[in-house]
Amino acid sequence: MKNTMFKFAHMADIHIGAHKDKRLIDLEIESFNESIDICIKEGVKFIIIAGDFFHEPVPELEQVRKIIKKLIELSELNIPVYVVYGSHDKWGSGETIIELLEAAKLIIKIYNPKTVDGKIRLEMHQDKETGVKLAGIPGKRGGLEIHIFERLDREHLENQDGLKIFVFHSGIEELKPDFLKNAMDMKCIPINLFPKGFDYYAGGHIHKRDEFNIQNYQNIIFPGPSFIGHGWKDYADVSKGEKRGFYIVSCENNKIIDNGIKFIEMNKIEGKFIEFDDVTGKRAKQVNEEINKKLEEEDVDNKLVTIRIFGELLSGNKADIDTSAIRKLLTNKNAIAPQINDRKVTTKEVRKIRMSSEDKLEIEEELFKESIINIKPESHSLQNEKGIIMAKELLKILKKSPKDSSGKNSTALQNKITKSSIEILGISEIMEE
Amino acid sequence: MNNKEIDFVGQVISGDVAGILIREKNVGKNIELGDLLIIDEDDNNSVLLKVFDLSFGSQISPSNMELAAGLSLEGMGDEIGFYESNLRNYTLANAKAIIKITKEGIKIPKVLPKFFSKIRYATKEDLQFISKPPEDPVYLGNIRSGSKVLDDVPVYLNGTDFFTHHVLIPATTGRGKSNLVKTMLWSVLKLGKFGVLVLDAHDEYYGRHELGLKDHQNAKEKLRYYSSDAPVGSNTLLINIRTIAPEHFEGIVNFTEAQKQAIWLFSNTFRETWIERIVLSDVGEFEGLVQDTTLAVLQRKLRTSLGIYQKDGEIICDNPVFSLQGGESTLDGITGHLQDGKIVIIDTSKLADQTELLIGSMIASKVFYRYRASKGKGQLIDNCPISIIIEEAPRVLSNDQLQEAGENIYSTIAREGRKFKVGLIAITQLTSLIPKIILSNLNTKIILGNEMSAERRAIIDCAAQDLSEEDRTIGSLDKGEAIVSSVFTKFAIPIYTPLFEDIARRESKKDNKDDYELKLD
Repeated sequence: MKNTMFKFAHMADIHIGAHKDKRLIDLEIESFNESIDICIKEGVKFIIIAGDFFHEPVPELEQVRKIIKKLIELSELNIPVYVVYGSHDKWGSGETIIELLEAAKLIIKIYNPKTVDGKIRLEMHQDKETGVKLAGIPGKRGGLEIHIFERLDREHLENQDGLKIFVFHSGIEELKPDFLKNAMDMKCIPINLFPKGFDYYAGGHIHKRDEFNIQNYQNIIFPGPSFIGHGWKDYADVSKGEKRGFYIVSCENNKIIDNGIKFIEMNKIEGKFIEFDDVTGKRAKQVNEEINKKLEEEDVDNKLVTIRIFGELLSGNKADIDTSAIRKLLTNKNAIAPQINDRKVTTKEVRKIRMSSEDKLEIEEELFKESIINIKPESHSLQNEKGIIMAKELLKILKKSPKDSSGKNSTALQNKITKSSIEILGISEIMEE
Repeated sequence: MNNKEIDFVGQVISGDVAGILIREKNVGKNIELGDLLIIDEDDNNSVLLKVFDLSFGSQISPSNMELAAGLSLEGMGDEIGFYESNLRNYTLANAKAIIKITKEGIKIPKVLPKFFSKIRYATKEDLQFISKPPEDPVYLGNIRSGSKVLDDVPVYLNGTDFFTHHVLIPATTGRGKSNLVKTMLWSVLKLGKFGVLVLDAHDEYYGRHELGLKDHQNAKEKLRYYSSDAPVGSNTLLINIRTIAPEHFEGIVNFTEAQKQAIWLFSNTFRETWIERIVLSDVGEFEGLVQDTTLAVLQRKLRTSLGIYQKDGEIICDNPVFSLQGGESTLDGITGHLQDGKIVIIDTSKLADQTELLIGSMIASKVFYRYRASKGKGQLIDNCPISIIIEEAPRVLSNDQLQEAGENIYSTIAREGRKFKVGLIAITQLTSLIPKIILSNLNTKIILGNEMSAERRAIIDCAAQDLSEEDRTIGSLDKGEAIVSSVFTKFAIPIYTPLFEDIARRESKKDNKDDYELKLD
C-alpha cells in the first residue's frame, strides 16, 4: 500500500476539435484547461480520460498545440494522464494524435493486451505514486470492441489485488440510457463481459452523466462530455441547462471513501433552448414572422442557442422557413453557434416521407439502412449493420473538406481523405496491387 | 400403376362418409391407428384415408369361436386350428377419406371411393403436396403414418400465417412439447424473419449447459438470451421500475377498484416514479385521496410482485430483475430485437410466477402497442411478425382468470393481435380452461398426446378440422407424435418431431470461433 489518501480525476468524451464555431473552439480549450486547473488545485494524483479525448484521430494542430501545453504542465507536476482510445480517437490503422502524445510521454495508454491461451490478457498498469492498478479497453467504431470483451481473460483481472480501476469507452447493454433505447444498432457490451469486483469503472462514450451500482459491479461511472460533446442532442442538452463536467474521486486506505465520488460542474457555457411547437396550420411566412418576433425578445447574448421547430405547415415547403435569417438574427444578437432543427417540420405535400429521427447522424443512418435493404449488396461486408457502419464512416471522411485553412486545395488533405477511405473500405491490398 | 406391382394392405368392404370399413390383408400387414392409406382411382386421382379405429372381423360365428377358445384353454384341443385362418379371421380398419389428390391440387372428398377399391400405404410421392416448403417455412416435423415416420416428407407451415394467427399446443407432461418448440424455433433461426419471445420457465431452450438454440449458426445474429444470472456474453435481465406502467399489471395482479384508482392517481401525479412514491408513502400522507388501508395493501402487493419495499426511508429491491438503477432501455431493447426478427429467450426459471407473467405482460404490451401504432402510420408492412410463447397459458387466458382479474394483454393479443402481426403460442395441459372464443382464435393446433378425455374433447371441439373420430388416436399419441390441425392445412396432418438434439448435432455451427479478425492494437 502506498499513498493512503489521494484523489484522482475521471473525464471522458472531451471531443477536442468537434466544433467549427470560433468561440466554441476557444471555449472548448478554455474548458479543458480549467478542468485541468481544478484537478491540480484539488491535488489529484492522476487523471483518467476514458476515450474520445479528440474528435478525430488528427484534429487541427492549433488545438492540439494548446492541449499539449496543458499536458506538459501536468507532466511537470508528475500527474500522469491515463487514456484509452475512444471511437473518435482512432479509425482504422492510421496514425493518431494520441500515439504522438504517448510517444512524447504526455499521456499513458492503459490498454496493454497480449494473447494467452486464446484469451486476451490485459496487463494492468500500476500508478507509481498511489499503487492503483488500471486496465482498460478502447472503444472502437461500431462497438467492435465487443470482440475484445468476448475474449477477455476476466479471471486474470479479477484475481488482482489492491485498488483497481477499469477504464472503458462503451455503452453497457443493461445500463443503456433511455435516450438510446431505440438505437438498436448501437452495439453495447453486456455487463457480465466486464471483469467483476473492480473498485471503479471509469466509463466513456455515453453522452449522459450517470452513476450505477449493481451486483458485482460497484461505481460504474459515466461523466458524459466534459464540455458540450457533439451533434444536435448534445447541443440541445447543454442549451436546456444540462450540466457538463467530470469526476474527482477520493480514496483512502486502498478504498474509495463513502460519498467520495464528486461531480465537478463546468459552467463554461450558458445555454438557451427555444422551441416553436405551434407551426401547425400556419403558412411559412407567418411562422418566420412569429419566430423573428419571439427571438427579438429573447436574451441570447453569449449563449449557446438551440432552436427546435416542429409541426405541419399549412402550405408551402419546409425550405420556406428562413433558417438563414433566423441564424443571422441570432448571430447579430451575439448567440453562440446557433443550432436550428426544423427536421420535424412537415407539410401536407411531403408528409408521406417518413423519418422518425431528428438527429442528422440518425437520419443518415436510417437512410443507409433503407438503402441497404433496397440495394441488397452481394458483399458480406456491405450487408446489414456492417454495411451501415462502413457507409457512415465513409460519409464522415468524404464530408471533410480537402481545402486547408487558407481555402486552397491541399494535396496532403486529399491524400489523407483517400487513404482513410481506402482503409474503411478494406481495399488497401487491392489498391496496392 | 400395375395392380400386380402394388403392395396392397386392404380393400374397401363397406362404410359411409363418416367411416370407410377396410378389410386388412393378413399376410405381413398391420394397419395401425393413424395410418395414412391411399385408394388409387381410375383417372389418376387418389383418395387419402386416415385410420381412426380398428376391430376384429371373422367369418366364424361367435358361438363357434367361443367353443374353440374353450377347447384350447381347457387343454382339450391343442391341435385345434382354423382352416384357412388368414382368410376367415382378419382385422377391420375404420378409416376416413380426408382428401382427394388430383392433378389440379387437393380437394375435400365429396363422394365415396369406389366400392371394393384396393388400398395401399401412402408414399412420399403421394404426399408431395405437403412436403413442398411454403414461403418462410416453419418446420414442425416429418409426416407420420401410424407410428411409421416418412423421414423424407417434412411438414412446414408458412411462417407468417403460422405465427400471426396464433397457435395452441395442448400437451401433457412428457409428450415432447419442449422438443417440438425447440425444433420449430431452430427452423425459425434459419429464417431470421420472425421475432419470437420465449418466456422460458424451465430454462430449457437456450441450452446453457447442453445443446440448445445457442448452438445454431445464426444464434449470434438472431438469438438473444436474458437471465437474472446470465452466462457470460448474454444479457443480464434488469428492468428499471420506472419503466413499469399501471397497465402492465392488468389481468396479472388482482387489484380492487379502490386500489386501481389509487394507482392511477399516483401514476398521473408522479408519472414514472409512481411505484417509488407508493412504496415510500407514509400513513396519512395522502389523506383524503387514498385511504391508508388501500395504500398499505398496495405496498404489500408491490412487494409481492416486484420485491420492492422501503426500509428506513430507503427503497429496497429484493428482486434481482427489477432495479432502480439501469435497465431503462431493456424493454425497448427486447422489443427492438423482436421487431428485428430475433428470438428472445427470457429465463424466468428463477422468478416467481407472478414476476414472470408481469415481465411477459410488459414486453407483450410494448410489442402490441408499438405494432398497433405502426399500423396507424402505415409502417406495419416493414415489421417482422412477432409471436409470444406463453407456457401454462390458463394462468392468463383461463375463464376464471379473465373474470377475476379482467382482460390482459394476452387475451387482447389473442383477439386482435393478428391485425397487427402479433401472435401467441399458447402451451397448456388444460385446454378446457381456456374460453372457446379465445380457442377459436388460435388457428393452428399442434396436438400432442393427452390421456385426459375431457381435455381431448376440448381440443377436438376447437380444432380446425373435424377430429371427432380422432379421440382414441390423440389418446394414443406417443412422445414426439402430434397432429397438426390448422386453418392453413386441408386436413389434420399427423407428424413426428425428430429429437432436437439430433438436429442440433447435425446442423450446429461447425466452428465456434468468432470470424471477426481481431487486431489487438
